[in-house]
Amino acid sequence: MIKKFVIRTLIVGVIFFGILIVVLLATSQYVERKGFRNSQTESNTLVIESNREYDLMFMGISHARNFSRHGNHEVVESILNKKIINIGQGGGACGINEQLFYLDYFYSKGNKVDTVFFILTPPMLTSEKLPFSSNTFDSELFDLKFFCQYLSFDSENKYERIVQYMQSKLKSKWVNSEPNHTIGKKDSLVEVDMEAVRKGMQLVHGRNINVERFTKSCIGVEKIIKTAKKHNSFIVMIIPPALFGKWPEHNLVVNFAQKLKKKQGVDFYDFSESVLIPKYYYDHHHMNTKGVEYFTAVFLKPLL
Amino acid sequence: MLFNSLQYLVFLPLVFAIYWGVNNKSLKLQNLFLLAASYYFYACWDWRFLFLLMFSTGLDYYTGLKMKDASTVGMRKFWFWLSIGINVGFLGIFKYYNFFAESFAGLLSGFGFQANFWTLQVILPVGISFYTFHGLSYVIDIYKNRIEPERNIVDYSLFVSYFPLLVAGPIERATHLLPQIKKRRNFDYTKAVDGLRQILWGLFKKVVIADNCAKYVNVIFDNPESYSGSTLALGAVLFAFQIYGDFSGYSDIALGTSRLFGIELLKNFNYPYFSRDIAEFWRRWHISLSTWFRDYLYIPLGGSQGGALMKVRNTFIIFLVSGFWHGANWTFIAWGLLNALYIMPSIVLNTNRNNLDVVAKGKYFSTLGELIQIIITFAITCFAWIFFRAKDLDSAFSYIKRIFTSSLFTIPKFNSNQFSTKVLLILILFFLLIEWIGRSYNHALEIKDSTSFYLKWTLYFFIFMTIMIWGVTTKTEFIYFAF
Repeated sequence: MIKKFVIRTLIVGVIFFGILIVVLLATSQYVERKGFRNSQTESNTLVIESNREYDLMFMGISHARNFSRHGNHEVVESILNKKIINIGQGGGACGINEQLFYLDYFYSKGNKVDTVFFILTPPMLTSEKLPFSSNTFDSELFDLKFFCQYLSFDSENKYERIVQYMQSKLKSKWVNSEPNHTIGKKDSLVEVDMEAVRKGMQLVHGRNINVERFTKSCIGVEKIIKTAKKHNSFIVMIIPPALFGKWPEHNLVVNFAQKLKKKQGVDFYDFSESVLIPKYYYDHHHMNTKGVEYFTAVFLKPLL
Repeated sequence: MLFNSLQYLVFLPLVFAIYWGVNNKSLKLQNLFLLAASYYFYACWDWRFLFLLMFSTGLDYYTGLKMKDASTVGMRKFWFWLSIGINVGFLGIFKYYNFFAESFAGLLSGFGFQANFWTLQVILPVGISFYTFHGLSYVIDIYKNRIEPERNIVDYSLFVSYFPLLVAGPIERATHLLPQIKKRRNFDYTKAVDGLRQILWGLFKKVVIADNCAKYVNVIFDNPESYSGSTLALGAVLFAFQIYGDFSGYSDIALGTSRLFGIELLKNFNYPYFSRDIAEFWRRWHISLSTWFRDYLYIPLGGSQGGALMKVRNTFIIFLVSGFWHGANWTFIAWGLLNALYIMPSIVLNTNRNNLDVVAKGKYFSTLGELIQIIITFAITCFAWIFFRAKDLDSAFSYIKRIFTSSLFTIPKFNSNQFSTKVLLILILFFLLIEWIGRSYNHALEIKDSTSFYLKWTLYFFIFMTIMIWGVTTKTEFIYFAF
């Protein structure tokens, strides 16, 4: 009887999960067919193809993604005259560790990239929220290779992410997702609102900066560098500009990055105070399209 | 380890396979293995408290034997009170010390005295109220000569620590569970299949109903000043579904899991929101706790034997203690007292046993009168839940005050866009429908053999997909873990 129970339970499980997987794959196929470019989606799996060669990659959190959002991708490609892939993830979707995963996934598909601009936003290394975010893969295709690769990846909130990854593919928001054709982010600030900055900082850090988390993140950054080096990509670490200049953990990150520069032979640039003009921002640390154009032309172009 | 976690999804089949596959030939090995699995299950929260659990188990085991072997009545009493004292003492320290210290300091300051008591930074060990009550019932039963002490330490430890019931009940009795632990268990296909159904339904109640209601409830109860009276009233109703889905969902998973191992646990919920009066509600809500208080407190206090006044007194005591059992907060005491007030008329008028059978037995629909009774009972229950959910008495009264304004007659509005309200309401209706259909059975998804194959499997698949689509995936503990 127990054999019958186990076999029947397994069969039911396989059928139920089989149907579920088919549905997940079907919704993903449906979305994929809509055709997305890097500037039109926050998803990485929709734009990472196989066996492609790129000149430049942006990775990091929203400040990296911002080089592609709002149609900025094509603008930056044109200024730098490079073929670019952006795997940065905004919206609080992921931190250092999952960026490492995306980089791994990119290489595992036989892709190559010459230079990686690792946009090292300081709070990315101290945030307690990013390593535990569960919306990481909400915009990603349900892809069996991606899924299995993440199953074997070491992550702090793996199972919750996996469940939400699957669940998100069954939601109308995913099925109805369309390429974002917005060209240019035109909103701009007039002045620095220090009260808004203070509130924003508190939202990011709470009361204190978590040093233990920072140490963990440093290990993650080193892993990213090793992975890139292994695949013959040159890493350039960049602290992006913010209208208020330095983030509270600025010195921690700069000291760490400078050590890495010597130890790993990577490049490092601190551009935190390079753009302090409100009209180039749509909030206190995200540049609008004009800001991106300006920063890319004046600060990034000379690096290549 | 949570029942609604992927960790448990791996743990359960593994334990099941080893339990029936490797250890099937030896009851001793099966029990030892179940005990080890239970300790692992508990240690996943905080391994340090495992020692407290083991100590509590060892204490009751030892004092149970000592009571039996005591040569004098005095010695017997000594061992009995030692066990009761230490058990209640632990519960007092971990759960109630800060409450008493702060309340006493507050009382003294009311009389103009300034008193500073030490408050302890203690973590409440998960399940302490449940396993302490297991131990207490065992010791009391031995003292009252209702049972013989268990001489096998493994069997006794398993009775206290059996993982399906360890952290949130049902609160078992030695007379019910120990004989099952000591008896050779054979795999029962029908019961195992039914166990899986019960787990599926429990999971639905927890991750779909309770956790989605919680999203609204948390927003509303955290900022009642931002909402209309009608929204606040709806918040209380949603909390009623949240707590029922959460706790009865947990119980269903516990009972279903246990059935996979051939052990039947006490039923904890019996469709309480279909009750026609408050007495019926309390016969159907958290049954294992209600009957525990009945047997170990209400009856020893004299029960209903000593006339109306004694019945009233004892009922108040029971509800007061029951409220306090839930937590060291005046809100729980108020909740208990309010329920005592609700039930009092039926106690005085001797109508508390009017509705013993399930509503509309053998019929599809209840009468209009029964429906009105059900709605009234549900409404007053929801009102009491406000005290249970509020963070303190002031918040509860302020919440109630805000309900009873002219805005009570407006359409409820939420600022939350986390989850579609329409979807939630449809899911609650589906949930109520299945519970109504299954109200005569042990659990709502207990399906008759005669049910159509297609209907049955469509329902299972629908529930599975509902969990996959709308189940809340963030780690949400069961509410009763905190008690």
